[in-house]
Amino acid sequence: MKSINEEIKMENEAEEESTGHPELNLIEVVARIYDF
Amino acid sequence: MVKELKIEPITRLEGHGDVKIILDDDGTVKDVKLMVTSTRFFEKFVEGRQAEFVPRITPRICGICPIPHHLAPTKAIEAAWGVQIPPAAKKLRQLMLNAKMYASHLLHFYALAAPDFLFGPLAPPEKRNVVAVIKALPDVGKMALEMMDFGQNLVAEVGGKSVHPVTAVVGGQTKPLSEEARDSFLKQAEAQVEKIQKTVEIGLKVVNDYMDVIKNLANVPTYYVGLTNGGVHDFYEGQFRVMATDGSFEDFEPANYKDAVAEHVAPYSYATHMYAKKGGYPDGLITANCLARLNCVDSMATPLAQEAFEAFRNLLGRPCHLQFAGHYARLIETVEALETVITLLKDPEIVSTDIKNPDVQPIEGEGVGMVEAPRGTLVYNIWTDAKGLVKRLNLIVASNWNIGSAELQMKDTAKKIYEDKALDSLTLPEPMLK
Repeated sequence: MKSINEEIKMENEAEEESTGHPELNLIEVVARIYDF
Repeated sequence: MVKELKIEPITRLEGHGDVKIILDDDGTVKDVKLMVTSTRFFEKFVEGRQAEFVPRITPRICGICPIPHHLAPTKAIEAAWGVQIPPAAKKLRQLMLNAKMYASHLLHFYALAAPDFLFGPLAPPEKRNVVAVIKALPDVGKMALEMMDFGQNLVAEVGGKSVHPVTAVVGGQTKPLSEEARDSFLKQAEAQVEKIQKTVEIGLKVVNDYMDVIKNLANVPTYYVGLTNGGVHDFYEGQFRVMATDGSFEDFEPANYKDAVAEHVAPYSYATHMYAKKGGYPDGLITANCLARLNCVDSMATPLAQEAFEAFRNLLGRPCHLQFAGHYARLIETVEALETVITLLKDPEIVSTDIKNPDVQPIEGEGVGMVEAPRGTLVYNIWTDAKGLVKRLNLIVASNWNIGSAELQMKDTAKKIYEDKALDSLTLPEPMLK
């Protein structure tokens, strides 16, 4: 079982990988309004 | 050459999804697709089972909003079989649902959304997470956890379990609330008022700081839906209101929802896109979240929420098409959820033991159960045979309502960023946290 810190690190890596372009952050933030 | 950018997966979400942005050679946005990448199959694997099992099975659809997935199917079966429930049972269900709304809305605000606004959306990803927020603001983090804990503990008390509740059954509830539990939670609830007021203060500062972003991004008009009880905000019951982009609206009985809305199958996503029949697809794409509910209602159900709602409407109008104002709307609903919890706990009938109608007979029929889930209206449409076995189940969950709308807003945002170079002209505030 992964520790919380390991989970967060994985989440951050996923986010970092997905937002190689900083402008994409804003588009992702739009998705988070809905939080489907 | 066409360039394809992917957000895969979108993080800090309740569910799962990817976004694909396709840019042309000249930097124009050719398309944006929001893809729900997993299938669930719940509608199929309840077929042939006893209908009473459905409210025990489908809460597994969601670990964050299992209470609506417990109550909506129960209401749908009661509608199909013509079963009435005692008044105290309804109050227990409302108590459970409002406690869940309180915990879930706070989770969204503090854990999912706040990292973007407190550190700024362009801050490095390793900064933008809830642990960093707690480290930077330990007192606020502690308060947020205490608030969510209160809501979740109340859910566990009324629902029998914290995450996947079990106490709503066809005909009422199985577990009364003891006077001791009522007294304890009432004392705790009253102590929450100050905490929610502090949360609203933080929320309003964020809204004011980000007003330029709120007004200029994700502001494409859509239809809106939500339950209203004679125009008054209500999470548990009422008429299904459908509001057009110009603010005109029609009310429908939940059983007649198919007269108002329909599902479009998008070939690239497992989630169907809901649209208003009046507008057609895609012009009638719908939003069904906190903002949608506040657009639909004429007033809130409780005094502090009503006061905040009036300020919201005076500032942003009706309908408000600024999707980022959904965070503001969420906090107003959080205030109402707490006030409703307090009102229900003070009601002497909440500790009644008359909470189950024993006269429940399966019949062949169709029923619709509709409640509000934190992220949008939840619809269960069930068909049973004469033995009470499920013949068919249709679910419309928040994702179905909002995927099309979210895609629309993301496409608009992408166009503003890549074509209009909005990042050069938008005013982003100095981050509250560094």
